[in-house]
Amino acid sequence: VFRIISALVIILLGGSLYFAIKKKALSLNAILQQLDSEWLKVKRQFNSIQENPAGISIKLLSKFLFLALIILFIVLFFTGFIPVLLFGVSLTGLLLILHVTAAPFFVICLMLWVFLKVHSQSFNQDDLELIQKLSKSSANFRQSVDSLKNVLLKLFFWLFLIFTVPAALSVILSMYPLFETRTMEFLADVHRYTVLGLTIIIRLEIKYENIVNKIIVGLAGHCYHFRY
Amino acid sequence: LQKKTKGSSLVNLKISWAVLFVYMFPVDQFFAQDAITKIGDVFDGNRSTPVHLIQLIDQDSSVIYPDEQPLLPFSTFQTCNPCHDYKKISSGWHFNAGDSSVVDGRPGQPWILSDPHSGTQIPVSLRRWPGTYSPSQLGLDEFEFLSMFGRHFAGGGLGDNPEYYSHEKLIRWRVSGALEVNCLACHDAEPGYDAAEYAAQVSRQNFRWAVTAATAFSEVRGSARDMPDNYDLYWGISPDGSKVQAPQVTYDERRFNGKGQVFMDLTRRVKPDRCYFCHSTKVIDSGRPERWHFEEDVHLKSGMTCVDCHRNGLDHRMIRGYEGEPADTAHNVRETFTCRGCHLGSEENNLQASGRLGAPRPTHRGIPVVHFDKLSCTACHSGSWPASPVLSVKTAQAHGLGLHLSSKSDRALPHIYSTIYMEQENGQIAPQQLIWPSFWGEFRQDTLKPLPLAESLPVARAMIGHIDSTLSGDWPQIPDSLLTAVLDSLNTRHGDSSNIVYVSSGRIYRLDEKKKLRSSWSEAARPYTWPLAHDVRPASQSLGINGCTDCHSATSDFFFSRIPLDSPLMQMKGDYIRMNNLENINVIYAWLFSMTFWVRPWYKMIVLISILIITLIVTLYLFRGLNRLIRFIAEQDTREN
Repeated sequence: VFRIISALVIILLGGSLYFAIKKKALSLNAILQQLDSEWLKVKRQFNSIQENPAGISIKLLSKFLFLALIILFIVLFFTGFIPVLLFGVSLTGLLLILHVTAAPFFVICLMLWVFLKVHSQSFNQDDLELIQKLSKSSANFRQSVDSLKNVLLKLFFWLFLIFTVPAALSVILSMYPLFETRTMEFLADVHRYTVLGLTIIIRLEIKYENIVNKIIVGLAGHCYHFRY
Repeated sequence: LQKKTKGSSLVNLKISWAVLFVYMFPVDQFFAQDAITKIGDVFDGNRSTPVHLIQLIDQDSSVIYPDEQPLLPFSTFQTCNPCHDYKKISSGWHFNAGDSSVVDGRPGQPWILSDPHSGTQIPVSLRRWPGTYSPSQLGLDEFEFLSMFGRHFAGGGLGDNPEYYSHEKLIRWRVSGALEVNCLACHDAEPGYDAAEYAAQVSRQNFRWAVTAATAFSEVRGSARDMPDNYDLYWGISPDGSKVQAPQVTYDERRFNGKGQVFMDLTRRVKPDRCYFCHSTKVIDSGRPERWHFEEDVHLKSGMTCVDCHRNGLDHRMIRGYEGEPADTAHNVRETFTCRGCHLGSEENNLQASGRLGAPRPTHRGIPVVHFDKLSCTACHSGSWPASPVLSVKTAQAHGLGLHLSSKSDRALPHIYSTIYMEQENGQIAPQQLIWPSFWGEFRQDTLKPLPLAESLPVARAMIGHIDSTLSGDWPQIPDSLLTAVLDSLNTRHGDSSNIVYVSSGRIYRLDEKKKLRSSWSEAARPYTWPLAHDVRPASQSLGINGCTDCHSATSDFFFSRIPLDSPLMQMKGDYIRMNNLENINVIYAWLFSMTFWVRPWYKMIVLISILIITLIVTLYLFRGLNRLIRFIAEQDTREN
């Protein structure tokens, strides 16, 4: 069942991404060039830190953590979904090794990144007022679209965190001799479906970040641009 | 005929022969009858065991009285068939080998023809299991095959079906008689039933007498093997006047009542001891030299019997008990007698969750679900704990365990290795037993076929048989020079140079044009393996009980155990392959994956702490958000007021 559901979801997400790119009339070359320039920027910043470690700022650190998160998520996504989608088998072999190697780094990076960024992503008085304003009249919608986008991005941030906890916890708990087979199967399902949820959230975030023209270091490197 | 010849010294041999020929295989006339339901085959609902106080009937349909002469052995067909459908029973798994209409199913233990004196150990089977060779490929006819392996053959099938008989051996069949289904091999609950005596009789080609000899109330002397072709059953002595003893049966008169009936302690609830005679395995483990060091199968120790799971109907098509066993009915009850069927229940068959026989449902706490896709139940629960090098075993059928003169040497051929973990056709790794075939053969266009034994054995035995090591039944130590000489000799006799090969340890050895020894790995020389299911170890002794590192460690015998490349050739001595080769698992992957278990405790701890921090942050901000929301609502309320 999961194979069918995940295949449908990923086809839908992939399709929407493809049409979004097509709508922007982006060529493959343009995307690659964009990726290249993004990578050069990152390299430059990394070199500057190496030369002057004292110059590292929270902003820069969070940028690197975010970049690592993107790369690790891509690794986890492909290693996790390829055997299920393409071969209909459980994750084993070298893909499993890659997956379980990337996973703890992903969680650590996420924890650190959340630690650094959580405050700026919390809902404030303005957000609540905006929601109240929109709930009173839809005529306000067009005027507040940018602010609303910001609220949505915050919402995605929190949803991402909320989905990450069961996704990681289900796997870690299943590594202890605590649960019997049926519960283990349930935990595996929790992991699969929450990760699928995470994928949907990321796609939505890409959409609202308006970054389809910059598909980076996957897609979300540009989130950084927008946000930082 | 019996009555006519009784007491007469003048027998018209021509008439006798003609009549005998008609009577030779009396089974046929009954087979021609339409199938009718026999009285003993209809269950009336009473669960007690019926008393079998019955008259014994010989092959000529005459009731046996112990004081009459000549005395014949009783025929199971004539004695049992009036109440039980012999034909249907003889279609059972124990009897139907060789019947081309039978689905052979998963490969099982073959008969193994082993002969240290010629460097031969080769799996033979009447079933078409890949990797085995049929008797005819070795130049054996059914009569020779039965004489060799009938010791552990339950009769029937090619033993009493004239369709299988070769014309060359018809006379010998007449002397030996049919090897009928041996009902008593399983159903005789009398302690005095002697399966070893049955085996001894078969090896003397006393097929007709074998079942009778095994009972507790009769005795058979003499040997049909020693009888000439014109031996007359009713004379009881060999007509040529030689001093060899003709087969003769005597019955214990005290066992017969006034009606000529004998009490036979027959039961449907076959004792494990009966099964053990043919299905015993001895594990050769220097760390456990004594018999009491070993456990018995956990099911038997809990009071079950083999037939509690390996059930059958009248057709005697025993449930073999593996997953995917060919179904014989639309409603596949067989699946409910697999490990999963009993211990997990079967949703398909709408059985209760705990399955049959009150089997406990395993919890498998902490075992990732992928293990149940990748491993059979038996991988963790059956056979010996993995060891390196893998242990060897002796089995009843391969080594003649339990026979009067069985070899007690632990090195006696054939060399069977166990427990081997190997990928099956369904992709699961399951425990297996393994032998490396070694034999003299002919290799043409990638097709390997063994040389007929009559061609290879005399030559090889003459050149190899003198080597001292064969006294223990172990391999001789064959140097390259001797191998070259034997190959050369066989090539010369065969008249077609360079095609004769020696197969051993997965390799094929042959002589090139310059008569130099060459060898190469060959798929055709691969080992023959068959899955094992017993003895089943309890959960507390199963793989994984000590944690993941039972298998997932850099030194794990599950992945890295050494499997000796068993061979009589000196050049292969000490050579081995690693277990992962048979598991179809890359050694680097297995090693890398094992390495991850070194860091796994840290990994789990770090991830848990990270998740805990993220959870705390989410919780903290959740409360802060709630606080803000409450304040916001309160402010709104104040404003509106």
